[in-house]
Amino acid sequence: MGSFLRACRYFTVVAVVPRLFLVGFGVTAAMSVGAALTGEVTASDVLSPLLTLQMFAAASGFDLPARRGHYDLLLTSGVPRWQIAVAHGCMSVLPGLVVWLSAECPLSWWNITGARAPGSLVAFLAVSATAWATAVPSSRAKASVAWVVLMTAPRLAVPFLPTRLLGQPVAWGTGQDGTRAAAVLWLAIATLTTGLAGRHAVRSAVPLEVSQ
Amino acid sequence: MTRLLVCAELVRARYGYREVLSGVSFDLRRGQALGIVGPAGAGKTTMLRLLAGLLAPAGGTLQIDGRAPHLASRRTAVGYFAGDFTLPGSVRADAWGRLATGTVLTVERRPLRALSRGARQMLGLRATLARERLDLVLLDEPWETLDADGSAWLTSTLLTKRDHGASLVLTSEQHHDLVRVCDVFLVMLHQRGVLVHAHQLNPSGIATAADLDAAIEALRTPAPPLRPVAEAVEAGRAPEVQSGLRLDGTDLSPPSQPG
Repeated sequence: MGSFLRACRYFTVVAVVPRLFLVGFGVTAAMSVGAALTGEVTASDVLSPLLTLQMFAAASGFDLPARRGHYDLLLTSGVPRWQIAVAHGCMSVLPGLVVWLSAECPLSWWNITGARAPGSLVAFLAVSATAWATAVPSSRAKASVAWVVLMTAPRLAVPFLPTRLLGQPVAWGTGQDGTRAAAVLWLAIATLTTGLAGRHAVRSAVPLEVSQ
Repeated sequence: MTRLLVCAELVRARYGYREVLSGVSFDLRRGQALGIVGPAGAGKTTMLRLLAGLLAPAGGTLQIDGRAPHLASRRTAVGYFAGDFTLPGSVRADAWGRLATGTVLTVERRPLRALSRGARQMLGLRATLARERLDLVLLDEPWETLDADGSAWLTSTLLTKRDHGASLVLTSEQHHDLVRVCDVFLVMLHQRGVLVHAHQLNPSGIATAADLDAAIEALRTPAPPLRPVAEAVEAGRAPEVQSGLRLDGTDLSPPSQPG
């Protein structure tokens, strides 16, 4: 536990989510809550911008900073690699999670439609995990390109976009099979990519970028 | 005889299809200091990263305290620093200083990218060497960019660590610094390593930078290879040679000394 906390502390000093994203989260959350106060909105309207920002914030990238030597001090400190990978993932998702929860609470208090719907939770978890995982072997820039391609996908893919899950129930028998299928798909993608990314972070070699 | 800490036997390394090391062998005992020298691109940094457990050998055997390097750091305290360019520029200097041991190493609050190269190098070295117990110290070009005071501090710190039983593996282009600390040298040429002891470089046992340069030049010369060093070995001036000289399978170790 001590070594895991040491890894978490390391990733707070060597920040995995740049300060600009934290400012972005603050602005987006304030604007979302402001919109909820002034007009008739749904949970999807409020949470969509936060989910979009989380796609890019959680995609912190592991290989690139590691190959630049930024994690050398931690990687050679005796902390097991799997703990480093978990700590990296947690610290990548944490800022978005805090803002997400602090935005969801007021929505519940004001009885805004779809607040705390299971679909929102699934969308957040799946997007956070997938974003982190896709960036592990590459970089934030490359993962971001993948997200942009997905979000501007042809009509066929639109029903499966994670933003479609926001504010939706995903339980059986609700008559929303499309939403349920999208939720299952995203959970499967998140599980698979996280598993592969974790394996990569634990086992991959870390050559120094300049010496290859 | 002190205990063996590092054992490398015909270690090979590659980046993709490109072979960087092909058969490097050496042993390192506790309290021994190994200097890795060779031209740019010879695989010095790769060798250090293999020892740090950040790369896996493509072949051969590499063990630290009887375990693979990536597992050894849990039991063996390893300090590794590859140079100031590896420090994350956005991190505040005081925060980086506290990362290693939790103690204050500097009160400088500017981000690392705002510091001079020498100041960054110094901070990186201090963070790496701050731990009280270190079994294996791996430093890549540690004297680079340091001023005279910094160089003197580093040399004395490394000698202290070595005297306390830490093994050192250092690379440096600045041979005059290296010979002050190291008692054995791994000359890396053509993706291979040739092990040369200080006694082989100079009969007095205290090698100079000129001795090391001459040995490297001799090893570079295709014919006759290794002659100056080989003569020294044959003349019996290297009684403590343990691993011998190996290049292309040639073992020039002297016969074991009685008693």
